[in-house]
This record gives sequence, C-alpha cells and structure tokens, in this order.
Amino acid sequence: MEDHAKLRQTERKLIFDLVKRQKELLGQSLADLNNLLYLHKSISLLSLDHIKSMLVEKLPHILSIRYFTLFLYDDSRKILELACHNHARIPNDLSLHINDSGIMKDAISRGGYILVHDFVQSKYFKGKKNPQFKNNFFVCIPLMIQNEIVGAINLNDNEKGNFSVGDLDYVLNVADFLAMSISNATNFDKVKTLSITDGLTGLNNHQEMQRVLKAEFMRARRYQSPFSIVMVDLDHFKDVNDTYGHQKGDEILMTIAEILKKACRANDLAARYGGEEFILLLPEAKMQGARIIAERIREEASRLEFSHEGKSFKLTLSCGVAELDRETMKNHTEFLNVADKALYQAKRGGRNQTVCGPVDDDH
Amino acid sequence: MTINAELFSRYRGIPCLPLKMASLLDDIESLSAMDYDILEIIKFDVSLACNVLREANLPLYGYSGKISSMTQASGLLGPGAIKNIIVSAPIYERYSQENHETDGRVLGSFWRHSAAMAALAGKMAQCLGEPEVDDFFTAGLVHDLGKIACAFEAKPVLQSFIRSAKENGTTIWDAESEEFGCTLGDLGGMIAEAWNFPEPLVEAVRQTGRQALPETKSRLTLVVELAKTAALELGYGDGIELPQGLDKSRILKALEVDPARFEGKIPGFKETADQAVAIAMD
Repeated sequence: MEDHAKLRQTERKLIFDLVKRQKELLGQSLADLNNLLYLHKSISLLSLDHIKSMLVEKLPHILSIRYFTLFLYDDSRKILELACHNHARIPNDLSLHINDSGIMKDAISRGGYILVHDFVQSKYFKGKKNPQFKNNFFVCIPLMIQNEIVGAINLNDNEKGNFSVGDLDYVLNVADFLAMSISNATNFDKVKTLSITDGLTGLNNHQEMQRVLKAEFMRARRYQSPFSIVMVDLDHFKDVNDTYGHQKGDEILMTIAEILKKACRANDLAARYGGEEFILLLPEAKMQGARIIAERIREEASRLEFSHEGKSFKLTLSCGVAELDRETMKNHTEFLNVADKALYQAKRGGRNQTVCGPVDDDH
Repeated sequence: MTINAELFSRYRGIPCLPLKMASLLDDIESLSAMDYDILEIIKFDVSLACNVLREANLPLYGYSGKISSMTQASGLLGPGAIKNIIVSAPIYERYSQENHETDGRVLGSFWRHSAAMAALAGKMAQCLGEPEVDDFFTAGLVHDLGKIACAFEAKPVLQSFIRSAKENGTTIWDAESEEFGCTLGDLGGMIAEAWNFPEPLVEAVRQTGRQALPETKSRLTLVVELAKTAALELGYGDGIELPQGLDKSRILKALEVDPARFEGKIPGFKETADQAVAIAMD
C-alpha cells in the first residue's frame, strides 16, 4: 500500500507538470488564434490601401516583431514593389528587381520561408547592417495563393531576441491570411478597373462614362459650375476598316485613344462612346476651353500618318462640343444630345472640323 | 454486469500515458508545424494513433471512412493538427484511488503489445508483398481498441472477462461471448465504426481473434492475427496471459505462407518488435 501511495504521489506530480505544460501550450495557441482572428477581421477589406494601413498599424503587435516590410511581386516584370512597412528610413516607393534581393529571390523561387538566425553570417549579408536592428535573425516568407506568389514579407527583431519554431508556425499561418487578403483586394481592383474600361483602348467604357456624366451634370447644376463635353468621331472609318482591315482599324482606335488620354486634365474623363466614337467630359471647362481641346485633338489626329503594307494614309476626325446650359438642359441626355447634334453638323459640314452646339435643328 | 454501449458509441478517445506524454511534449516544442517527423514520435502510440485517425476520418476533411493509415492521416491533417492533438490529449492517472485496480503494469503491457503488433504486422505485410504496408501497421496498432477502451472506461467489465476466462480455463474471447453476448472485438469495432474508420480496419478490429475459419477473414485480419501469435512468442503479449485461441498453422495456410520460411524470419521480426517497443516506451 505504501508503494502504491508513493507511485500515486510521484505520478500526480508528473501529471500536474504535464497538464501545466499542456495548458501553457494551449494558452499560447489560443492567444495566437485570437490574434489571427483579429487580423482576419482587420484586413478583410477590399481596398489594398486600407489593408496596407491596417498592416502598418497592427502587424508588428500581432506577430510580436519590431520591423517588417511587405513587397508585392509582379512576376511578369520580376519586380518587387514595397507595399507597406514600419521602418524609419526606407522610402515608401521602393521598387526592386528580384535579383536585387537574394533572400526574397530565394524565398520566392523556392516557394518557402527562409529563416536566418544570424543574418550577418549568412550568404545574404551585403556588408552593411541596419543599425536599428538589435537581433540577428531575419525571416522572409513568400505570400502565396496556391502556387502563385503575390509578394513576400520580411521580419526583423522582437522583444525576446530570437525566432522560435513556434513563432515560425504562427507567422506562416498569418502569411496565408495576408496572401489571401492581398490577393482578394488586388483582384477586386482589377475587376473594378476592367468593369469600367474599354478592353481595346483602355479608355473608360460607355457605362462608366454615363455614370460620371450623370454625376458631373448634377454637380455642375448644383454648384453652378461650368461643364463641357466633346464628342469625337473618326471620319470615314468604315472605309479604313474595309480597305486596311479591322486589325489596322483597331490600331488606329488605340492611337486616337492615346491622343484623348493626353488631352485630359486631372479631373477630365475620356471614354469610348461606341465604335469609332469617343467622348471627353470636361468638368470646370467652358465652351471656349473645350473647343480649344477639341481642336488640339483634331489637329493632332490629322497630322498622324498610318501605314499599311508599305502604303501610308491619313485620317481625320470631327468634333461636336457642348457646354452645360442650366436653363435649357434638364438632364444629362439633353446635354449629350446637344453635343451629338454639333457633331452631326460637323460631319454634314464636310468633316475634319469642330462645331460647337447648340446648333439649329434645321441645319 | 453490462457494457454501456451508449457510452462507447460516444467515446472520444483513449487517454495518453503520462511518461509518453512527457517525452512527446519535449519533442513537439522543437518541431515545426510543417515537420512531418512528428509522425515518427507518435507512430507507435495506440492512444495518439486512434486520436489522429479519428480526426482524419471526420467528414469535415472529406475523406471519412477512407483514411486507414497514420501516413495518410498525417498527409491529410498536416503536422500542425497532429501537434494540436498531442497538446490537447487527456492524460491518464494510473495510480489514483479509483484507478488503483488497473495499475500501470497492465496499461504498460497494452501499450507495449500495440507497438509490437504495429511493427510486426507492418513487417509481415512487407514480407508478404502487400501493397499497403501502412494499413497493416495501423491495424496492428489499433486492433485492441475495444480492450483498451474497456480498460479505461469499464474496468470492472474487463476484470470480469479476465476472471471468468481464468476460472473456466477458456479463451478471453469465449469468456466475453458467453458472459456478455458480445466481445471486446465487437466493442472495438463499434468504436472504430463510430470514429468513421475505413471498413477493412473496422473489420480487422472486430474480427482479430474471433473463433472463425481463417478463410472467412480478410488478409488484413489474418496478418494481424499472425502478428499476434508472433508477439506472444516474442514476449510482447498484452499482459493478461490468457489463451488467445489463435491457430498459427491455419493462419499461415490461409495466407499461403510456408511455416518453415515464417519461422526463419522470426529473428528479424523480433528485432523489429524490440525497436518499436523501445520507441513506444521511451
């Protein structure tokens, strides 16, 4: 019985110690889980800019590290662009070729983390140590969605002075969340841009133009500010397509789109209206200013020389300009009609010219 | 005396032995959640193996009833999840006042026996050219699920089985059947089924040791039974020391194994079992 009591006592102590260790490990897991959930809620955003500012604010606390940099990776150009960081001396617009960062290059090409316990002794050290760093470890983790690399995150320094396997496990879980959020926000941006962009010319599409026209029309009426539009149509474009082919036609449309983009001021909007027709929305522009812009576009287009199978040819365009008149134009459709009629007049008048509306219906 | 079937249908897992847990906690603190070496430190532990298999066969992961080996389970769950299973495993207090009848010696024998059985069944499957050696290994490891669960959850029932078999000079299997109408194999099968183990594994747990024609049993079950005869011969029995009623020659015949050739391999089997037991009881 005495032996049994002794065994019981010894085992009780062992179990007590084991349960204590299990509790510590479980407690750490719960704390990590809480942090992970908190981060997940904080960065479940659709705007990459919002995600970046959240990360600058929260990531060091969540990962218990002092410094981090997060780069986004463009695989087509092999460029790493600094998305966010909390270093004092790194420029925000830092952009690196992948070959310029050995550690990120290795992490990205291997598709796995790199943990260096003594950076100075590692092959990645280039002879200059960041004076801010108090510890020697360096961690680089590629941010991956399935097998696609979206970026890389670098971590330096923490309170305890080293980076354990437990720390690494946790950071790898966080990295999965980061990769997913960043990828979602980037894709959302792409989809948003695609939904308002004309696929051929890169200008805004008709739908987006209608939305902006409506909003600017309301704004200009409310604040009694000037607002003009220019409708642009390529002359005899059907003949160009028939003679030189649709591929050449597309090339011309893209060239004209570039001229329109260049003509736009900060708040102007150039859009493809449909076919070979374009439109410029010029908030805060009066008729005179709009006419100057239209003429500049027309003249530049008329100077262009295109070639096809060794033969060169030229092209002209016509413009119809309208300025918002609060008295006569009750909605944006009426405003658009005025520019459309002016454009029609320019065509009837012999093309390669700019006509300002309103024009008399009889013409 | 009856087995509370409902209790076992909701049975959540076998607790860990304290000494094993001590070495496991030492090990996992230095292992990353991506380190598949974690499988090496738990592969001979019947309690953790059952918990890992139960987790991997949850419908959540999409492979319910399909994960039949520890290798498959670790591939599916990942080392991180296995680490969590270890950290959250209950620890059994062998010498508490209420447990004093099931002493450490008996449970230690069960663990040793399971480890040796895993190693032997795996090795024999390999010698027989079986394609899924890991399945045999796992079946050997968990074949006594019913008996071990009973030792933890219904000690008086197990003691009654043992007493009855000893008094009547029968096999433990006969004692179980006669006294309760079901066997510890049936109990293990019920638990394995509730844990969504694959059907062949459930069958091996249910049938190992059952008094039936070897020809009616699966190869998985027969290899586990053959491993059991070897384990007993090599001194790695389950500690209960009752006749198992296994007919080695009939099992060998059913497996189409030449008895002389089998006997020639016994030293190799011994080495395998010794190593497994050393790791399991580390």
